[in-house]
Amino acid sequence: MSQIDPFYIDTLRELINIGVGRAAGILNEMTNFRVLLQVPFIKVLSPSSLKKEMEDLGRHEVAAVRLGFKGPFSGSAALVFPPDSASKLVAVLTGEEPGTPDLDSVRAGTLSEVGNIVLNGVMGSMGNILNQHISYSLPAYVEDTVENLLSVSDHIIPPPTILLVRVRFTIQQLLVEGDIILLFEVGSFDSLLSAIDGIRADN
Amino acid sequence: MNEIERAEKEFSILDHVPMGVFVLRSDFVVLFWNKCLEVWTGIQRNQIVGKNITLHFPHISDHKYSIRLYDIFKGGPPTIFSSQLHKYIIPSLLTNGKFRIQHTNVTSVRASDGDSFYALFTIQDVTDLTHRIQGYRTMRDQALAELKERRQVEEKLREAHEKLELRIKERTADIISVNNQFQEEIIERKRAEQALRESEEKYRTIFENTGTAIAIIEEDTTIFLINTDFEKLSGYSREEIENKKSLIDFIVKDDADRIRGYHDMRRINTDSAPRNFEFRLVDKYDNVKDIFATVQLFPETKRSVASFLDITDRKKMENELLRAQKLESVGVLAGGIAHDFNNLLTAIIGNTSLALMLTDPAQEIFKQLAEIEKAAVRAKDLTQQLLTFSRGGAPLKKTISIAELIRDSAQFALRGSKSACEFSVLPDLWPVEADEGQISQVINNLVINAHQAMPGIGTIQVAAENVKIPEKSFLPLKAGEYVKISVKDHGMGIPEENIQRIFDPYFTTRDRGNGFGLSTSYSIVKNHNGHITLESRLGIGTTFYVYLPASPKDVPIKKKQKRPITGQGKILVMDDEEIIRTVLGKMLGRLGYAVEFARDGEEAVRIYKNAQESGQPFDAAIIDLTIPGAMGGKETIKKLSEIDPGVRAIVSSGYSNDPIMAEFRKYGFCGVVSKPYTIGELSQILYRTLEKI
Repeated sequence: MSQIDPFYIDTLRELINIGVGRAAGILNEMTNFRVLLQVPFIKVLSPSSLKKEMEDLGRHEVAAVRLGFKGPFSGSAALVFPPDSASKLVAVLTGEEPGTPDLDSVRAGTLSEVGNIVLNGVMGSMGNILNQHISYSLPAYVEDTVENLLSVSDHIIPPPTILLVRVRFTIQQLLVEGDIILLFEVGSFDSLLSAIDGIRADN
Repeated sequence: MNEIERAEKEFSILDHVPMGVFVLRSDFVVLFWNKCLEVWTGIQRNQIVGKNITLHFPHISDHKYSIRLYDIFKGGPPTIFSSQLHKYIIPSLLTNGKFRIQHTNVTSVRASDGDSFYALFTIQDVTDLTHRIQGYRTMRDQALAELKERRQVEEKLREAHEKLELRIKERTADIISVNNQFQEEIIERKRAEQALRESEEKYRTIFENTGTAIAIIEEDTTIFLINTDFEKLSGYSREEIENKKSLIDFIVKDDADRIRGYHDMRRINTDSAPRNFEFRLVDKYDNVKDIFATVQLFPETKRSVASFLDITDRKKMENELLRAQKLESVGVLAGGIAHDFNNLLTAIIGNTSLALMLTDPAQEIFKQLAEIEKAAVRAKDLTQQLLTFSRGGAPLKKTISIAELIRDSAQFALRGSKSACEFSVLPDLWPVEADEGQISQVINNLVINAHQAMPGIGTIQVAAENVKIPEKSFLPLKAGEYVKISVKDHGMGIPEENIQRIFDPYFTTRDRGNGFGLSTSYSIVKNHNGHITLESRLGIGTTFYVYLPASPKDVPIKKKQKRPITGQGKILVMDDEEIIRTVLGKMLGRLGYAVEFARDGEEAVRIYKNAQESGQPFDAAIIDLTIPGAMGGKETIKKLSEIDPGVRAIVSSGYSNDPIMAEFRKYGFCGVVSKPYTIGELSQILYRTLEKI
């Protein structure tokens, strides 16, 4: 993957931070907990790089909330956690006793709402940039490998562009790290970058 | 068609889905309200459509909802209100009074005007699902808790098991160690037990074979253990004694308090009670035995071990010895008295017999003289008894058969009495070396004694048999053959305290007795190297036993004695007593003899020598055996024999029981005459001496 101009990265980080900040505000209000969301880094990756990155983190099986989007740029967005982290996050947000590791459908519904809020925040920020209508699918909860989750590989030519956003949740002294993976279909990421160029031109 | 009608037409299909569905316009006016919601909420479509939803559900206007709906009305991504974070969007009660749990998705739907967006709420009733999941969670949590608890239990069990294993290992090691130690202890104990058994066996052997009766006695005098000798001593078996009888049960009443006192004192202070003492034991058959006991306490206990030596026989011997000693001393005195008395009687009898010869029997005085002589002869019997009884008196023994003598003496003693004798005398009784007169006197004394023991009429059983006395007999006799004479009465018996003194001179319990009978008998038997003893039981009677040594010699045939009255010859009389010399001179003169006198041996020797030298020797000499302070008969006969080896001398003495009197020939005498004697007796002796019969 060709090197991305840092400007784009900085712009994307700012957009994403806005969206994540908004999501944090919603979660604070909903749960009455102080929810702090941080984005330590964002990376633009190829599918194989993403795979390696996930393997380095030991994330094979993940619990994810996935949202498809279609319009001027298409693809899918997913908030992924290791299953035990996801479970802890739900437990602390709902005030449950921690230590119940499984994610049943009720909890999956809760995690879906959390993912929905975060992804909506991020996608909302991006939609604002494009100022065009994007249609979204209903958020869906999935437990699977990262590879299967996104159904992408380097064998698709040209390969899709993946934007990996590390999101750090801090709630009630609990630190949970998850990742927002934005997979842009061919051309979509370029459209995004073009849109950013448009903003820069306006400013 | 207005907006509401269009919405109803557009969304009416959603009346048929089992979910709550309603459509909001951006101003929160309800455009559609499906039938499911009518059922859930009881709010009919016509009651809510066209109206602001906050009229029925004011919470929808809350910021946490409105901010998220804001994006929807902008055509933003779908929004989820999950059941856990919201419970419900449209509150509706179930029949159980609880609120229906809802999971709500809100999506943007382009409005009929084509520019704006509606919010389409689709509400899933997840009450059952939630409850099932909660149930599942509860079960799962319980299962997990149980699992956790089980794991904890298992962990504890494992730990306990490990600890137990460790403990078992340690314990096993301990047990092995203890077992080894125990094995060693068993071996050691077996050794100790073996040693103890051997020791016990050794001590049991000693205990059983000391030849002495032994008993172990408890503090309360109960007998704990005895040996076989104690069984023999007491007459009872072990089973009858051990832990059943008290030591006191075996002690005669008079001794019991003293022995009990020793027993108690010993347990207070060991040294305060005598270790050795004597007492009298009563056996099972009421026999009383003299016992010498030695008692010692077991150290650190209140038990004592006592040995009991049966000293009944020894005691009897001691008593015999004591009696003999007593009699011996009395005998010396009696002998002296008898000697002097005999001298006086010699003068009385001699003079009386002379006087009788010179007196006409028709005269009154003859009778009186005869009475004097009779009384003097009776007095002679008395002195004879004294002499017999006195020490050193040797009987004039010859080999005789005493069967006839026993019968004659016994019958003679009972003449004139109402008692009778029953004889059981062995016909072939062994001969004995005895003085007939003395033995007759013994039988006489015993039969009279038996007669006097039985008031009124009674039968006296007299028996004689041959017996052999073994070595170690309780009788103070040498082993050998004896003739045993027994005289048994059925009188009242002799009290024990009297038995000890029965042979003492002058001891009598009867008015008629002089106390000499039994003591004389004792002395006679003793001088025959025999023994006299008795058994007596009160109310049953008394038996006297006389043992005389049997003689291996045959009984000689008796010869008839000649009785010469007068004679002739020259006689030398030696006596220190003037009255003897005088009466003897007269008697010899009367018999036809010429007499010269000497006061002692020296004078006699001188006279005899002079006569010898002058050619007018003496035909015989009558020599007194005992001359106080001068040469006596024994020395004189020696000197006379030197002068005249054919000297014919008669020994005379008041000590008729002097050994020289019994064995006069051995000392050189030809004859013997005991004082006092009658003129007749004197004439016979002289006759036999001079005639060398």
